[in-house]
Amino acid sequence: MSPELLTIIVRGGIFTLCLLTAFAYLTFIERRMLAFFTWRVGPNRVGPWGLFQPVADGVKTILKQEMVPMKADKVLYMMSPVIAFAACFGMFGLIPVGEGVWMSNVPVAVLLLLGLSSLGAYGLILAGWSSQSRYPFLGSLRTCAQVISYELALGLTLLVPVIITGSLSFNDIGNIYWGPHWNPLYLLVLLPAGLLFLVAACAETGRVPFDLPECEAEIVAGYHTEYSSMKYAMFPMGEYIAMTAFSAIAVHMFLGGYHLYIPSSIDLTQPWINISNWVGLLVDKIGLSGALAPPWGPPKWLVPEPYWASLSLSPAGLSTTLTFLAKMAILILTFMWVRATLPRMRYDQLMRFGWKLMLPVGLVLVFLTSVLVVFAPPAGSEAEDDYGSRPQPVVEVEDVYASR
Amino acid sequence: MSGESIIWWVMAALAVAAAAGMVTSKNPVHSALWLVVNFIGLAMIYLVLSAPMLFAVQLIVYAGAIMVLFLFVVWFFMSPRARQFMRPPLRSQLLFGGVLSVLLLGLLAYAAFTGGSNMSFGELLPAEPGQSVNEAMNLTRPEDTASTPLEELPMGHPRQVGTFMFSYHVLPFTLTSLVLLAALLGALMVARDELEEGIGNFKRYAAVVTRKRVIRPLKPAAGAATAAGADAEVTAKAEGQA
Repeated sequence: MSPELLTIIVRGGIFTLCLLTAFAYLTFIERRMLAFFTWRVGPNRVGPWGLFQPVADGVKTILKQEMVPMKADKVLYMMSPVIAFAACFGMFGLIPVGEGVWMSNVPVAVLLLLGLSSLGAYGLILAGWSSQSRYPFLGSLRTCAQVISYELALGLTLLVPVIITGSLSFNDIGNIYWGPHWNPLYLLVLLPAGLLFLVAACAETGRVPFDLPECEAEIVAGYHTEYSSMKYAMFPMGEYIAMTAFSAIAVHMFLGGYHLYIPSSIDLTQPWINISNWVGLLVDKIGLSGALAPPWGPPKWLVPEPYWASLSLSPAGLSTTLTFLAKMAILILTFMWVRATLPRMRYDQLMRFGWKLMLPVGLVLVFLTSVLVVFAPPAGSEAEDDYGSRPQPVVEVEDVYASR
Repeated sequence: MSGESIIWWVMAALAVAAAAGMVTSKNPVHSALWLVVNFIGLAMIYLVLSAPMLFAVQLIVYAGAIMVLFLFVVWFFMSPRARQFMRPPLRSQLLFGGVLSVLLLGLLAYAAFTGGSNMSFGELLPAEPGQSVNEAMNLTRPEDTASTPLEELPMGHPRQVGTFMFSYHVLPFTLTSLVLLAALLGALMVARDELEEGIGNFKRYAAVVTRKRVIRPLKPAAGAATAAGADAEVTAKAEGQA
């Protein structure tokens, strides 16, 4: 087994465990948040502060009686929750979480993510159809139309940072604000594009105010009306994981990825200091080790050399991961806040909003970006060696990454 | 046998099996889903042949967007209760189709084993000999490819594809999109008559339902149109249009 394959398998396992735990506690946090917003207490009975509520929920869903409609298309009925769930999980296989902490790093990651999110729609669509019942079918048709309409706007907003950096890989795009592609004028298009992306992501994951597919008052529970027990639980699972994934994408595309820079007031020729590796800096400051701390991993006698590098975690990896997770948490909390604040839209409003507002605005943004890239080229492209007052990535930290 | 060729054989078998499933399944929704599986298998083969861009596009455009529209169309024409929808194939076409497919298969086999270069299947698999999937997929830390010159990028990189498509081959690209546009407009023109007829049918249907509270066949007898009331006028107008 090659070291790369081992890395993918080990990291896949770790990612999956982390995501499942994250899902369980995201539901808990969301319930507590909603309770807070609506002046209630929320789940607080099971364990200290209700912290074991997700465990109780999990046991309950698994042990519940499972019912399958007699007329259902059995194979598709069983498959569709798995499709919805797996496509959302697969997204995280493409997203780098920290420096060196990724499962795969494909050059066309952005495109693949769009592909995966549209494949995930199959799960929702087929769930409604295979139940062979009216309300689920209506729910799945709504999902279908909604996903198709908002995917266009989503893709267009993603194009804005892609045009600016000229790359489809998250590692390049995360550097957008500090790399050689930056020009402050780009904020004019990046800010509206980021907002538009958040709205489109809301619609794509079917969250309030766009949760029409499962609108209780009109079509019972939408596409998952006929599902019970664990099969039902896989749909909200997919939804939450998709929300997490879209937050991660938004962080990479619009919030500078896992990098962390602070403005410097000491050295005016270099106004930004790269503190992405703050754990390493901290360890050095305490004096525990020189040269930004060596990477941590399993004992060397247990794991032979070529495999060790792929199983270890450098301080840079740890600190960038923590930075990334913090940025992601802010966005996830925003999604929850939106859910507590906004009422659900009517279906024709949803369609009008998607086709008559989001899509044209997205097109205009792409056009403006192209104009800006041509007429206000990135600062780094004019003179390679003239740094001036422009932010430049600090080279020393990059070297530390390369040496692990 | 290397990892790439194992993936290639598995995916090729999957694609062929899915294609067979698509042709033979009785339910049109199942057919559409088999086609999705076929597209995914094809996409994987593109990936093994180190064309990640084509892989992503195949997934988004064909497996994602187009097949969802296919499902929409199938559902639109299919009653939800109809489990067995497709008619058996026409007997007269079986012989003709069989002969054609044997011819096509023979041609493909001839081309695969003798045509072009004298390479074997194993040599054909990776785009450059010695380049692994991991290298093609850039699984190691990618460089900042935005400033790399085109010639030094790995084959099939999105920047290469984009540059070739939109600068060197911009005329064929535009012509192809014009052909697609023509097909779209043609479909619209063909559907327009049926659309108007459909609206007429719908009005007639609504008139019959609201008057008698029973559902009649879509084309009522000539006497039914003479009934009094505004509904009947609608009916008559609709029939006049038809």
